[in-house]
Amino acid sequence: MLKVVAIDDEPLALRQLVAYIERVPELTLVAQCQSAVEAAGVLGRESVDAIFCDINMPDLSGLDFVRSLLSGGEAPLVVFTTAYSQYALEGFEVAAVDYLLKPFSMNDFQRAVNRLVERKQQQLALSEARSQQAAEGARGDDVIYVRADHRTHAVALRDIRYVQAMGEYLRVYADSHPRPLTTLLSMKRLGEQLPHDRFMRIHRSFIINLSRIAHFAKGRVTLNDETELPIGDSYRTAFEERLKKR
Amino acid sequence: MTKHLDELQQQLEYERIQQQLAFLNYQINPHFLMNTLNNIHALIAIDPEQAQDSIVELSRLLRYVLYEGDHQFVPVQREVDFLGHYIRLMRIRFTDDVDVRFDVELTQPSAGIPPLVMATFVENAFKHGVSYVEPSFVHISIRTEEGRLRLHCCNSKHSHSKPLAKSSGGVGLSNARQRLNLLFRDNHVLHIEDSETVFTVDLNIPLQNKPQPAVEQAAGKDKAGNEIC
Repeated sequence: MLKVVAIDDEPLALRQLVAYIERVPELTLVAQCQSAVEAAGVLGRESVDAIFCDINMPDLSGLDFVRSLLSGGEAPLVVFTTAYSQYALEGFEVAAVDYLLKPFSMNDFQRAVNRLVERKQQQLALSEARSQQAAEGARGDDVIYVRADHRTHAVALRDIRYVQAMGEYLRVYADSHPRPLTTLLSMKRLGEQLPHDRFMRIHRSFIINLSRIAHFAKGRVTLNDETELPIGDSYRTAFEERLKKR
Repeated sequence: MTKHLDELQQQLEYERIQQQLAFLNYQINPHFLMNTLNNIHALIAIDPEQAQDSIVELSRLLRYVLYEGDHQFVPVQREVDFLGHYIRLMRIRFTDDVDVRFDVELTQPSAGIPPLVMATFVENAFKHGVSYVEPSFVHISIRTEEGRLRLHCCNSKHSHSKPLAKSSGGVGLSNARQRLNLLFRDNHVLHIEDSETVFTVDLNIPLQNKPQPAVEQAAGKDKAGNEIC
């Protein structure tokens, strides 16, 4: 459902625009305005998804109005209605979802609405992806940095299968790297960087990614790449408790 | 030989002026046409009868511009009828808050004038005079007396009115002025006054007294054009 505002200074033109809006179930008319100033007031008070705006309104041209909208924060989507040719309008380079050339049919109008709906869905998907990214970013755990082979590798947590201790070194086995990354780091230090809800130490020498477990039996766990790893005696109880919870 | 050369030069001069005039001729504003069609389109659902009337007005207006716009002279009554169509079509585009007056007093309705000689001034008056947010007016009066035509056209100005020189109205006015100079040379007066609140045009041109051939249709029937608004 899109909340829209209709703007046209000519009463009949506005009435026709409103009649079209009322025929489309996806649209809710928030206000109909005869001037840009009036519309600016509405947009200040209400949240609006899209505006249908005439160009060539006398008090403030539709283009200036939309430009001023776009310069501030969350701008609604714009469909221009106009008696100019589309060609004349494109020169102004104001981002509009569509142009409706007067007079326009219900079909033309529906086409513009379809484009609006599509654009709104894209916007929503984008902002969802952004907020998800932001949430992950806030936890700061999507990537760890591993120093190996004289460079620093960014390794996504979801790619890590398990980590093995080799004396003073660690070996990080990850899908993103065909060979394990060998790095000078202690199990303790790495354990602190890995989120405890996704990784677990099962042995003096092994930390596994819990989402990679294929099956486990007494004293042994098998990952879904068929790697078999021992479960240390002192870790067994904690491990079994943990898997019961999941 | 010299006489022949003179004639040739005159002919060339005549052709040059005709070309310039053709360039300066009034042309229907596509924006006006599309907006009018859009209003009629809306009217069809709201008031079919007025919609039909408006289509008739628009047809007559177009017929005049398309078929008579390139004539050398037309009866002044035809031009007045055209302005009547234009004004009534503009009228449907705004509310009754706009005070529109069209007063016509023709003692010599069949005397000739170049077609569309007043169109630019009337069009400008509407373009800049009408406000949708504050009280506004367009007053037009046309008189014929002592072999001359007088147009008085004034409109209100508004806080949002753009300076004429910078808008397309400026180009329209300057074309109209050039056209008048080519057509009448010194034998006309065009006085434009641009005050803070009112824009006024006074035009005085000679009437062509040779009676114009009556235009077969519309002109006679459309006498109602005298008291329009």
